[in-house]
Amino acid sequence: MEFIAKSNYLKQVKRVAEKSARLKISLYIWGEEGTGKTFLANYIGKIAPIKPLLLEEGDLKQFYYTNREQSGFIVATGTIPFAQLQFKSLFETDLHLLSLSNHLEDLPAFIDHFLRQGVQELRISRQFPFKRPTFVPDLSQNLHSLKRQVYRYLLTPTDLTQLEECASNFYTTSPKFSWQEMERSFTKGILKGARQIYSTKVEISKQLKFNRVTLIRRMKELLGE
Amino acid sequence: MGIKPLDGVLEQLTEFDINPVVVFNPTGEIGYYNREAEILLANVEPSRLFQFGMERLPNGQKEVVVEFQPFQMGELEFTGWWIGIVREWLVVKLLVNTTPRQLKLGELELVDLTLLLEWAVDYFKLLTPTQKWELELDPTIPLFYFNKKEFIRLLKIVVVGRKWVKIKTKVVVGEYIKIKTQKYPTIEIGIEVEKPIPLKNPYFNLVTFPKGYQLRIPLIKESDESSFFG
Repeated sequence: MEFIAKSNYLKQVKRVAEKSARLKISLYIWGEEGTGKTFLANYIGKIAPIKPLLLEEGDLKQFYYTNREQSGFIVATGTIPFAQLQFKSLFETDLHLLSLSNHLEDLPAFIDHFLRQGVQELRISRQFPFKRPTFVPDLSQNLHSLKRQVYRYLLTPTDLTQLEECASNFYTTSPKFSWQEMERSFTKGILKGARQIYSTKVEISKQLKFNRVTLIRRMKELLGE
Repeated sequence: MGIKPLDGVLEQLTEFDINPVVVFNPTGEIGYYNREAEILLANVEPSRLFQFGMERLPNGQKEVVVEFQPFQMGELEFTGWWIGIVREWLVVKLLVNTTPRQLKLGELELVDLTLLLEWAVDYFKLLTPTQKWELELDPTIPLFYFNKKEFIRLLKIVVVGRKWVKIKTKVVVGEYIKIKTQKYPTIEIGIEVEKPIPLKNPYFNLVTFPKGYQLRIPLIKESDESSFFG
């Protein structure tokens, strides 16, 4: 279980988590969705001398009414701030986990981690260079979002051979579309991409080696321009 | 013999204590008493209080005795006493609100105090990265049974929002805490912070000083020892 910590913030969180585990401190870990709360709870559970009871916010009410006298060592996760939590007496203290946008030094390490994980989980057989993606990730959301973005990157064809393989796989699993529908969809995708990269239709036509009049007609037809 | 002025240490011991404290000279005259002792002295003759202290003074005279045993003096009820000789003065402190809650075995856990305080540094620096911490820990303190949960809660009250915190721990030589028939060595935890606010805590013998707080905790090493109370 690899604890990614390049920033001072996550290094400090790691130290607190490791000492909390050794001291069997009952902890409520809270924060926004996708900040790594469940990972942290499992990490504490793995290194603690006694396995804590791992609970989620929704389990707390039932647990409180059945076990409050002898609650033992608990690590729970949730999105409700500790000050507003109804059953805070179950815990010795809380740990507020901040989102990735508060410790951006960890971003490259998280991308590398998701790339490695993605190759394994998506069973990508082809040789993938472990390069950092060139895309600028959208950090407005969370770690789940970052993982999705990295996985999408891994699944995007990078040359025409891979594109051919993708088209073949697509048709094998969805043989219901006509040639015309698929061609329209393919062309629309290419034109949308080209529109993002090149600023003028003249440039698109030049790069794609596509007749300018035909290009304008197809863009109007497919993209409404 | 007139009332002698006391030195600073003794004044600090008495003035910032939430318990009534009366200090006697060797002939039984009152040298000093704190504000909390005014009601006590209105109810009880000083000679009776002096005799109470002398009877319970440890034989060695250099020791301090703390006993938690409920008793009545005049119309007032107390949960125990702290008696000792400090610079030839007899200090009699009757405990009222220090630990009104009985220690319960289920609340105590075997704790490494050094590790717990190191955790506290990391934890509170995570909350306030600019907070300055200094620890002076006694390495001879063994693992002992302790109310970790309430100690962490107390630390949060004392430490959060402070610019700096200094914590010292030590085993107090010559002082023990007696709970029922069992005597325990005493651990002192000193927490220095700027502008401490006077606090009471039902779980610990907590005293507020101008520089911070002081806790005195019994050093309970065996779990069967703790079964004497609760």
